Amino acid sequence: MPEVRLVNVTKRYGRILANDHVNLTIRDGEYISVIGPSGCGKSTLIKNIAGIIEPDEGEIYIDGKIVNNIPIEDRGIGYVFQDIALFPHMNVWENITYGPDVKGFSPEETKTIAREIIEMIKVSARIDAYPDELSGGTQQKIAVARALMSRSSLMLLDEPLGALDLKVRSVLRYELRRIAKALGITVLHVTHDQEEAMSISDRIVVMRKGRIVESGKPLQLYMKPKNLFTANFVGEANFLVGKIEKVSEKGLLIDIGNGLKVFSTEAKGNIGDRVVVAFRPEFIILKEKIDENAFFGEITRIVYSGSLVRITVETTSGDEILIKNPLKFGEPPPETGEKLTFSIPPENVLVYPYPEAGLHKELSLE
Amino acid sequence: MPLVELVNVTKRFGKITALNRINLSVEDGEYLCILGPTGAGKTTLLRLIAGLLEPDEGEIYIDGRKVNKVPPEERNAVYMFQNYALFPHMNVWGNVSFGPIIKEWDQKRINDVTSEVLEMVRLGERKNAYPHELSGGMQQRVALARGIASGARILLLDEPFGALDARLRVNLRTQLKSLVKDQRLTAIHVTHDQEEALMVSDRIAILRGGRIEQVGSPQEIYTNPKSIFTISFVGGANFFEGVVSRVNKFGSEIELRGGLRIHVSDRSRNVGERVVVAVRREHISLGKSRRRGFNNLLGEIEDVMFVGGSMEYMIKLENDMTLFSRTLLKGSSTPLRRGEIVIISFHPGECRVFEYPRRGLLKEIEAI
Repeated sequence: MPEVRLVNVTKRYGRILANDHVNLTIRDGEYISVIGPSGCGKSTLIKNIAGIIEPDEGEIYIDGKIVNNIPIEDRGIGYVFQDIALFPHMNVWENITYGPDVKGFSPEETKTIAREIIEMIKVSARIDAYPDELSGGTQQKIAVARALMSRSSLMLLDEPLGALDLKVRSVLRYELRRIAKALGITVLHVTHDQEEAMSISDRIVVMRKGRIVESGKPLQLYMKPKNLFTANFVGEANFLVGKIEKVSEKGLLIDIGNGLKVFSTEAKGNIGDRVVVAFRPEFIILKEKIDENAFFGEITRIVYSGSLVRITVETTSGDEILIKNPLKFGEPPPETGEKLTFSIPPENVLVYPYPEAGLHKELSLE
Repeated sequence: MPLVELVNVTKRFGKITALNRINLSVEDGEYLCILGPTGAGKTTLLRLIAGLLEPDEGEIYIDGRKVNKVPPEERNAVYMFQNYALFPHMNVWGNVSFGPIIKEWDQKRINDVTSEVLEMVRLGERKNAYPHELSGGMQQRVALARGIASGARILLLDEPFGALDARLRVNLRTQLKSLVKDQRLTAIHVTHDQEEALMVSDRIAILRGGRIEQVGSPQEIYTNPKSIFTISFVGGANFFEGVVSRVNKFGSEIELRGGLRIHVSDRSRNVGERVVVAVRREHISLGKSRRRGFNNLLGEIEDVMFVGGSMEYMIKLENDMTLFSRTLLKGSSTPLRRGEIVIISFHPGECRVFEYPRRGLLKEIEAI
């Protein structure tokens, strides 16, 4: 069934390399999300697969067949994009059953398929409504329904929830996944929302400057990102620069300056290597028995973000560390100026070679 | 004296009342967020303050002066919306110095103010770049700089990060807040992003259907929501429908559908009253043993989702109800698995009790 394979796909706009030798295989039935900063080439990638643009180099295969020269309407795909494009003068039923996606079905077939899809996306009660009577979220569901009418088993979603309120998005994203899995279709979903990608994907592809930086399962990408950019892009992290002081079978001991050392269970590196140490704010442990990787500092800022408190600490080494901690019932919240001891478990300390371009450039989100 | 004050402000568009008798005051130097869903009237409120719209009823005061009829450029306020609207044919310097030039300040003052503001938004090195050569985040900072350079003390920000990457927003919002505080500006910031509002605001005004639902500090709004709508919109929660079956000096007992009973510390309701009990997802812990002094229910894990730094569990209770529990991911913890039977515990003090809404529970909490 639909397997999509991109081999060295390259697309240029003038001097800009929007897609730079992209290689990617999307397996049958897989739900893949593509994330990356604006301008990273994620929309170009999806447009290449859809057939809206043609790559300058490389091949795109769908089901083992090269499709570079096949027009969009013959590629057998459903395509949904951010700007909801429903016909304003048609009601829900007409919007779903009219248009290029239903070509080739008899009227009877069209009716049967449409009823099934309408039931599946739970809009049966609204089939007589016109688009302007519907909320943005419902309109986007209708757009998805229309794409599903093609009976295509490959769906390309380009920021499908981009125009909607966060609250609506956080409900609809699960609907998208549920529908995809129920129908067994393959999905490529481009989004600027990391949380959205994390919560519904089988696999996430991270892009930057036209290239795929890395891909992996959401949890794996979050816990053990293979490179610095990903570590910063898929969630917040603290970064410290240091030098490897000791290498043992248990891991690496890193000198981060001012007499402070951090131990990591990571294995790769040589004594004397300049490295960047990264750890997530929520993996930091407060006020527990400290034996390894202890830090001491003073709270300089407290920001509440609902269920969490974000604590910024200036450590004795002069580094600024962000800690995220849940607010617990009956426990007094921390205060600015308080002294704090905390530690970071060695298995949560990630170690990367110091980037050639410098740390700031490597982490840049723009 | 508040810097910006709205008194009984009403605005209608045809038959629709976009804003209904709004009373709101913003102090000098305050960072206030207006939070609400699409169609709540957030942008209308901001445009009224900016002077781009005139209220049908009520008064708007800036610095103690009634401004209902005062044009936008004389309000000491700058309105910024999501599509930055920079002049594409002008470079960064040209865009930022535009206001001062129009105001016919002398050349030295124009130069000084422009450089200073560009430094403030850390774009001094990009002063010769054109908007299309800049990233979205940088364009947004140029727009901000242009607003500040024009001398405005009040920033009216309409979804200022709306078009940007989610991860970048987290950084930019912190920078924006620091800038506002360092420069002693006043900000009124419209957003539908509850996390954004919780992180940057001194106070949040929750807007719903043209009315203010609640105003308070982020912590007040989060820990003491006054309505089902607020708790659902800000942070979300699990909702139990039930009837008060007992009240004593320790709290109340609520009987849920299917005969389950839970205890709440709230004792302000009467026996027989129909209520909704809300419990936040992060206040529900999952384990193998019962916790003393807690409500303990039995359930099966139906789904496990990883949501940006947290694990979210969907659990089916004995009475067929579905519950969500969210735990901040700790490095060493092993996530629970689908199909596991767990004991669900939550403290009576973490249960918030609301009157059963007249229009039904769904109407109050539905998102779509």
